[in-house]
Amino acid sequence: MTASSISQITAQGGIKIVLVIAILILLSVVTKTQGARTQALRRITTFVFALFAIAGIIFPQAISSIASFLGVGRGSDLLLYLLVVAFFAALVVQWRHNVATEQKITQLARFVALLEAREQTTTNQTGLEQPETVDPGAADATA
Amino acid sequence: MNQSPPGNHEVALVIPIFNEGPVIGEVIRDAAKTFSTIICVDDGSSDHSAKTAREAGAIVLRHPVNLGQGAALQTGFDYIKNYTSIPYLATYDADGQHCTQDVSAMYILAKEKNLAVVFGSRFLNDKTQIPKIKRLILKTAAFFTAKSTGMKLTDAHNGLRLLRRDALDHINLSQNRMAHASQIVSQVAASNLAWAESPVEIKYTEYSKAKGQSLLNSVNIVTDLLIGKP
Repeated sequence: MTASSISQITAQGGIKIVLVIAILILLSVVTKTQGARTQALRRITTFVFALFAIAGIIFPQAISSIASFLGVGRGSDLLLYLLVVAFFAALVVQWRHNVATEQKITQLARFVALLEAREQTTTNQTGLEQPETVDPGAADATA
Repeated sequence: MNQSPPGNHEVALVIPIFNEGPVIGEVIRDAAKTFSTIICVDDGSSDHSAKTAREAGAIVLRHPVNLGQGAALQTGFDYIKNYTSIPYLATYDADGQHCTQDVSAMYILAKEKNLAVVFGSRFLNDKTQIPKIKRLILKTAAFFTAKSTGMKLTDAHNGLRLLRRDALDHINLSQNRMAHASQIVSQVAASNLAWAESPVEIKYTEYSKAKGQSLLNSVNIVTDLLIGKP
């Protein structure tokens, strides 16, 4: 009796624990690692995700029994929960990717700006003391 | 030399500009009365800001695309490090809300007390009329800045700062947008550079209020600081 009621309690809380741990692990993996490792882990995750999806499609009963083992009512509910986690993880990965891309664009734009400035400075050695003589024609090129 | 205002040849102004066409010429001509070197970083403006700034006598660096004020400042810092030998720089807003006299005062203070960084604060005198909500948000930001960096600043996100040349070795802004203001503070805190605050006046003109940050942008700043790190 006692053993079964304990398993009932853990079964009810099971899905919450699984989801929270999944989010934490994904977050730490995605934020702590960089470069090739992240990419490899992301591909493995995607691969595993695909395998489960295929298994779920072929054996729908399996998802239902996993769901009831974790204390989720139906297999489709479990799928929804997993989808929420996957969606959140994808958002975070995309965010990190955008930040990294933005840094690259920034460096590129800065390089272009400094290159242009250097060309102006070398055409006029005293340009720093008398900025008004820095080639004003360059700006008119597009006007 | 006796006639020239304090900091005339020793301080370069770094002014990020993004579509400031209506006011930038006036702001530069006014600042040029005091400072001989004015460096504008045009952050991908779609108007005539860059041309106007150049005609007004500024050195103009141009980002080919818009990146944000933090990125523009860092480009200006890189230019000063690599292409000039000027000993001080001041970050200065393009919308005409700062006063050159305040920069001169910061320069004198830095020279006297051998400081590497002087932050402007609008809370150290009563010249600035600050709307109540804005005051609350700035004070909250200053409180959290103090808590997280150990630097007891009275103001946060004030665009006017004076940096000595060697301070640039400790500052590398990766926060492209407005969160750079907090990043400068934390990098100065990590560097052990000598710093102080100096009272400044902010002139909230109709133009600067229209151009200025929405209070909602504080949400973006906090988000960038927490999870926007590259």
